[in-house]
Amino acid sequence: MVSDHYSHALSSVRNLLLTAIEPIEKLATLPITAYHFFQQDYETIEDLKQANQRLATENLLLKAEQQQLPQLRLEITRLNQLLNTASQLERSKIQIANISHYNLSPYSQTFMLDKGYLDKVDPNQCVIDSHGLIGLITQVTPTSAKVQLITDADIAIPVRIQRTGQRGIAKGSHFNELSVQFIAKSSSVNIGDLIVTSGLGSVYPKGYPVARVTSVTKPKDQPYLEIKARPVAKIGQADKVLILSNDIKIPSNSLFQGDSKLKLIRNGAGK
Amino acid sequence: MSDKVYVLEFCQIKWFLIFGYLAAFTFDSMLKLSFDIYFAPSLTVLLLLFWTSQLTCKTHLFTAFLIGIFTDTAMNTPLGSHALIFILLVFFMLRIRLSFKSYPAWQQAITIGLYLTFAQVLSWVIFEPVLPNSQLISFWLVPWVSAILWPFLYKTMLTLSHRAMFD
Repeated sequence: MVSDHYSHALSSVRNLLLTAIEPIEKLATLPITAYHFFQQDYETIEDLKQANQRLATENLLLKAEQQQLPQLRLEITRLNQLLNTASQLERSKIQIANISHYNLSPYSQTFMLDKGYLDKVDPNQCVIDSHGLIGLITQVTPTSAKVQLITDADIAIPVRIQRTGQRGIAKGSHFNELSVQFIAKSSSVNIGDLIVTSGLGSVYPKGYPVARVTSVTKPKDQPYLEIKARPVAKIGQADKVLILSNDIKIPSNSLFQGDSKLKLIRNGAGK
Repeated sequence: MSDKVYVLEFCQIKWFLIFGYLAAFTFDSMLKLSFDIYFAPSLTVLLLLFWTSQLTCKTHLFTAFLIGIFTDTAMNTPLGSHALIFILLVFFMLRIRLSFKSYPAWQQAITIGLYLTFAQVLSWVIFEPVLPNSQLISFWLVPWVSAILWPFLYKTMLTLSHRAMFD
């Protein structure tokens, strides 16, 4: 128990056991799968038309935004070079996965994905939806993966307040709520501020939205603020998610590749 | 007094026992994963207590350990924590199982209710579950529901095991 709770020494045993009970869990989710299957069949044509129109509009907006993306990427690379950034996340590899079932018990908050080792999914990969961070993959079987949600009390995420850059740790509290710890009383935090991943610890990639601040209190006897936040991801509603791979690579055009590049930037040729 | 007296032997009902556990584990998972029902007791644990009290040729401690490990995997709790709780339950049942068999139904139900209360208290201490009001009620309802269900389960399992032995 102690070994499993405080280290990952038994993770392979746990993965093996999860593989063993996977058929039972699939059988156990048959009623809810059947319910969703039949519910989909009863969607009216009008609903589908509306959904199609909404998706077409979204697609158009996203395409318009995407036109600026290559320019922004170049800009970021140039700024990183100027700031002497040694390493950064290159474009993350992304996989799409379906959620097969949720397990929101009082003990832990998890869900299962339909992709595993065979699809090159590994533990410690982050999972996001279209709004923000959802969780972290903790166990993997050949055909499925267990994701611990950010609202689970056992999870801690290095974050920062996007507006001020103040760093802290976000912890789950089970009730679709997070508490943000270790932010000094002197910091400026407002209700509605966006909290994003800070990238510290190299588990969660930098800059993904996590939650929005819902309440801020200043306890008299403590040096830190008490901050509550609501996750921005649609936890409990999403059925498709994205799995990010955390390959941290030194970009090929980094300053550390050679002096000639440095000279080029200093002379303004890199602009 | 007219009840037929017979002794359950493991070799005669082993497949019935194994499939019973599998079905119970699937049913428990189904309640949580498909229906979000948390006030229902674990049917697997009730079966474990039933077989511990009826199948007196075995201690059932290894079975309790295995079921606990699989429950830990399914519920994402530290490996061995549910195993510890189930082994303690079986240990206490082993101490009284001969007299437990002779108890009337209501007394058996109360005993099972007390055992499951003990299991819930242990779960509360070990896992520190975070419970909103509705789930808090569900959490402490589990022993009561098990006490109500026990006489029906006991009767059904006795009938089925009798059929498995003699049919």
